[in-house]
Amino acid sequence: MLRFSEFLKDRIVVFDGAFGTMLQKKIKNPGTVPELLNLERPEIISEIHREYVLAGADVITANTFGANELKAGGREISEKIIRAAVKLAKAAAKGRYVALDIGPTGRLLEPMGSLSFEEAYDIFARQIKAGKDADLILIETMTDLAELKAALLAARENSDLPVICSMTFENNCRTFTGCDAEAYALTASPLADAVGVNCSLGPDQLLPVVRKILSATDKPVIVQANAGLPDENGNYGVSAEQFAQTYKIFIKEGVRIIGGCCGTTPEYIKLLKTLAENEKPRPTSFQPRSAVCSANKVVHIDGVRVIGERINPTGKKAMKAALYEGNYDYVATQAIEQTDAGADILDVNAGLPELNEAEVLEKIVKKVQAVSDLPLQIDSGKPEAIERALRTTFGKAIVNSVNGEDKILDSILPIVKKYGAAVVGLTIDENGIPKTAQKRVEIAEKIIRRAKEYGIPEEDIFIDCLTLTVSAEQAQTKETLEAIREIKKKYRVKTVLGVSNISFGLPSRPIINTAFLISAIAAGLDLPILNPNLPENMQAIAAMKVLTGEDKNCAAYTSEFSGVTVQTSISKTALKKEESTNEDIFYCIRKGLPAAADRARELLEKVSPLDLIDQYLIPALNAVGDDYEKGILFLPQLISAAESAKLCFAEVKKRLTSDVTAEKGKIVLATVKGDIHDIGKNIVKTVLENYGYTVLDLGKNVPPEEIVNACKKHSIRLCGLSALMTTTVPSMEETIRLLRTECPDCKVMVGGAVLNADYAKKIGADWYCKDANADVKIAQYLFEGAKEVPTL
Amino acid sequence: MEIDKKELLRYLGWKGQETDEQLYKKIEDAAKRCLDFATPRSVVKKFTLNEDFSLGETGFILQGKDIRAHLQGCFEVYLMAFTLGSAVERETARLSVTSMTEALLFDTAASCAIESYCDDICIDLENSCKKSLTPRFSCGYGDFPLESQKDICRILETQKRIGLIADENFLLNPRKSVTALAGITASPAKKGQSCYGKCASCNKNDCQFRKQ
Repeated sequence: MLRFSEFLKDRIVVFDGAFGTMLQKKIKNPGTVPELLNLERPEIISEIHREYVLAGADVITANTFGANELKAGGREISEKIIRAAVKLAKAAAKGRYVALDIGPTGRLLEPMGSLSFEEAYDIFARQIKAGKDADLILIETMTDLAELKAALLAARENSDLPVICSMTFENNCRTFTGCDAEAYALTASPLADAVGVNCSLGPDQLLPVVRKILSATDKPVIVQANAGLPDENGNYGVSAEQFAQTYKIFIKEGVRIIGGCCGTTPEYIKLLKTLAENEKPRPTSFQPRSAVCSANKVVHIDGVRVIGERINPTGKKAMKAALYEGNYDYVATQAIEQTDAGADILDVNAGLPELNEAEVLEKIVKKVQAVSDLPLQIDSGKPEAIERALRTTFGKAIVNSVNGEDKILDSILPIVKKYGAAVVGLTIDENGIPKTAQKRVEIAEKIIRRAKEYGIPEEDIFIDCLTLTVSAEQAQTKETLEAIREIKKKYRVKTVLGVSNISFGLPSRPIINTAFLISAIAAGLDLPILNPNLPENMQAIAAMKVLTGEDKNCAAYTSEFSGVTVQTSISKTALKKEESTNEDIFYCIRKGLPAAADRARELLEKVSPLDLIDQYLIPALNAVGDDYEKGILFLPQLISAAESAKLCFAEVKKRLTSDVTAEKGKIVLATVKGDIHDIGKNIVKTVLENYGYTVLDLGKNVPPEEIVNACKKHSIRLCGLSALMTTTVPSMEETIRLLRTECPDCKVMVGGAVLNADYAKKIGADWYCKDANADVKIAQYLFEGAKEVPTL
Repeated sequence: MEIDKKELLRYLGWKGQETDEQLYKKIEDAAKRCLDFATPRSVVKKFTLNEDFSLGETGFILQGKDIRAHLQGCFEVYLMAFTLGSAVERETARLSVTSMTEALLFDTAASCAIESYCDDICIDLENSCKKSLTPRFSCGYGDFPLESQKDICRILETQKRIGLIADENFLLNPRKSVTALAGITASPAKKGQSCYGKCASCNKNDCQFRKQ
């Protein structure tokens, strides 16, 4: 028998149809784990396989879709079911190929759910090893690109079998989690031998999805549609004939692997087989393209696209401090700010000498993806850090960077190729930065050649002709621009450039930066790396898009700039102030007005930072807290007051010298392991921070050990835990128990929907917080000797 | 699907406190944003309710005296699952970083939206079966165990159909989701019957959100 990859080469391959549908015809209640039937009723399973063999299927899918250890109820049973399933399928399908079927784990991955990427990978890896006797691997019905990627990597790294993957889409060409069909094709194609769609819709409705995928992948495409959508009684509406009609179109447009999903039977497969026998694989509409993506968003680099540079500690004090402290919320705010400012791609960098770059970069990647849909540029020179970041990037990223040195090219390009990333090539080599445009072009040519040797297409190579500081090397700017022009003339590669270095050492840097940005775009720069929060940068780009014709009919420009006062970085802050009121700081905080910050600034001219806290901010917050307790104010008012106070604290912090600290105490907060409901915990965090406490927020779904480690490391005296339901309170109880033995000096306060004082006492907590103000009273008592809050 | 501002205020713990225009505008914005991000989906299946309180041929038996009392006299039930989708969850996460006030308002608006969506579907069902439905009854109400959440999701194939799962602690994900049963009564449809009295049928009398 030919290897499956050979078999696939010059024919249309037919998979089998629905398994569940057939099973339900034979047995009324297949039970909670239908895959157990592989052991309990093997004859039924074999019968279904044989019916599909008779119908003409080339590939029989083993009954392992839901056989993972989470659904099957344990590793041992999972592996047993899988081995049995593959054996049954092989016996029933002699001379045909058997696919190991891998479905979703049944849990959602972080950040939406509580399953980590690594756990998902391990679960898939064990399934794949147990199913090693199959002829190929089919990963199907996936809706989350992260989970798909875990499965694909597990398959690639634990097996030599061909891997086919398939996601399930809605009418809008997106999966339930929002993953875009093109983004899926771009991300999965490098890791799979074939990609495609299955389930959810009938063949007609899948056409637009299939077309999108065909145009975006160089791999064979598989389609396994449902026989329409099920009605209230579970019946499917598309007949075998109608089904096959649409499949004719699929084949005409280049689909090469066909089969059926829910509602299809051997009757459908028989017709597909007839189609396949009379057809050969046809060319598709695939077009190589320069594009990167996140799961939800594809960015085509067919014009100027902005790479936001702010998530990089180099020369940025606040980012540096945030990374040292592990304050990833700051990273998240930077991601959101740049996204809102109009960046197309976000650069992420964790290059600080005392940090474990690989670990921190991975955390940054995870955090940024949770709050922004923009594709990422992984900014590191270390292969280990790059690979870890690429594994957990759910989309197609850019790797920044390689250069002309063979040692670097040979260590990083294989990683770029494996994950299907794009790559930045710096026109520098072991001899340093060449002084002439000609030499830089030569290095670029070498990078392009070497990348191609690794199978990386020109469309995925972005050349950086290097910005040198104009005040130091004035003649070099011309060379940079000339090199860009030359490279764009000769190759399909894109060009990238860090812009702001140009003005280093000069006054009023934005003036030089803007002029350079415009010259570079005119020379052919596609990807400027810059600060999108500076209005001048984005204005220059909007203008250039008009002048180059990219902004058709000047529509985007007109909609953005008509009827507005054009801002500059200098006027931006002044403008904000004009909108504010003249009320005093107490009023502003109580009403949650941003103008509180202006009042704080004014007061700081007269009073010391610490006095501002003690005489204004805390009394204002206390008044709000008291009124909240009395029911005069309600929750949104309490929180917005806290948020306006936060702006005041930011003003205070700017003026504090390093020897004076406003810190009153450190508190650890976490939503316990297994629980993803963290809104209450986040509210508590906001309120506590605005009383001047430092909150170490460990996030949601936090294992007891992690909480204990943080409490130990920072000698924490107060830890706050939240849990929503009775089912996650045991996890809270376990955390408290561990804290008692490991951190005897740490007090514990708890809160959550199903808790009350009795319940809190029962699980060993010191305090129960009925609302967001209760925790402040506890902190004030514990850290500042305020009125005692009796323990439970 | 709509977001009733009064209902939203009730969920926020509002008990007649003075609110200003600014807060009211924030609430309006949150409601509007929530409707923009929501992609409501549902899956409903009709089952006969057997004497042993199992559903059709699924083998799934309804546990607890409260659900059984609730469905007393019904021979058929609708098993239902609803979700607002994952985009709402992502937006809540994003807002939690930028502004907790907005995050809270958005999250609460989503709670209103999912209830309203459930109501819409139930009204459609009443219209189509021409009978009154009992109020919806969900896992965690009374002694109807949360654990049943997993069975409901499995029977309705919610992951495949609407992207909804019950996790290892029987919590629904995306969070703004509902699973429920409604009994089909013998009496003719009365508009919106299934959408009322949810608080009255709940025995958590100390709930601060209970409708008076």
